Amino acid sequence: MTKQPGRMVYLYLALACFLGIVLIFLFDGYLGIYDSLTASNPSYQQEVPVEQWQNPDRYGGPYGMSIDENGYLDFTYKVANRRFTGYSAEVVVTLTDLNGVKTELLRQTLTAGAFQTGEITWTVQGTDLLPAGTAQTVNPMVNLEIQRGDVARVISLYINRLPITQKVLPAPTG
Amino acid sequence: MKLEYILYAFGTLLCVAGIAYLAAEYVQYLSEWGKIGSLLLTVGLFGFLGKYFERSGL
Repeated sequence: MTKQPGRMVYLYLALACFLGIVLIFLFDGYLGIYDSLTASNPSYQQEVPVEQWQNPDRYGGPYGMSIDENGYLDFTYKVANRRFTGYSAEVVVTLTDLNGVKTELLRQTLTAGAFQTGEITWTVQGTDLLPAGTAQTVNPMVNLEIQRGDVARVISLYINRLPITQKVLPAPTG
Repeated sequence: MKLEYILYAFGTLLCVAGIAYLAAEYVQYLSEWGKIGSLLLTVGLFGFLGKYFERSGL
């Protein structure tokens, strides 16, 4: 078979498609601002992945984390700035209980240089989340909201109660 | 089989493997339009390559 003229056009089109894929991966998949949240204590670590907040429709409702009644969680909120310019935003962290009462935990400016990561840390105590007089059988839940500029992230914090003390039954007589 | 076509196949495989590695390492999140665009361009890439080899007499 002989080589047909004009075949190089198809090679150039294939190369253009390849270049297009690279550009999509670069500008859509890499460049931008990506945030993640990590909560840790001496026993375990919980993490909200970047994909959870980038694609909320796929993952459903707010991400859930648990905290022990007598424990604590060290939160680290990281923002990866994958842009050619610096990034700065005010971050406000609030807790909202089931009655709608809001408590502001933190208000701080987060800055990240070009292609750098900025982070903010805070600690939440389980005892601070438990409303006074809560029955032992009730496992309350609060919403942790992180407001970064006009972006809002919500985490549901479930409070693990201490085990209920079992009653010791008297020994049967007779 | 001609060495030229073997090198073409080898080069194509290397490019695809390289892109796949970079995507796995650095691509954090693709929007729906990004995914559709990547899929269409991939189909186009292999389609045009096939047309090129057809016209080259392979």
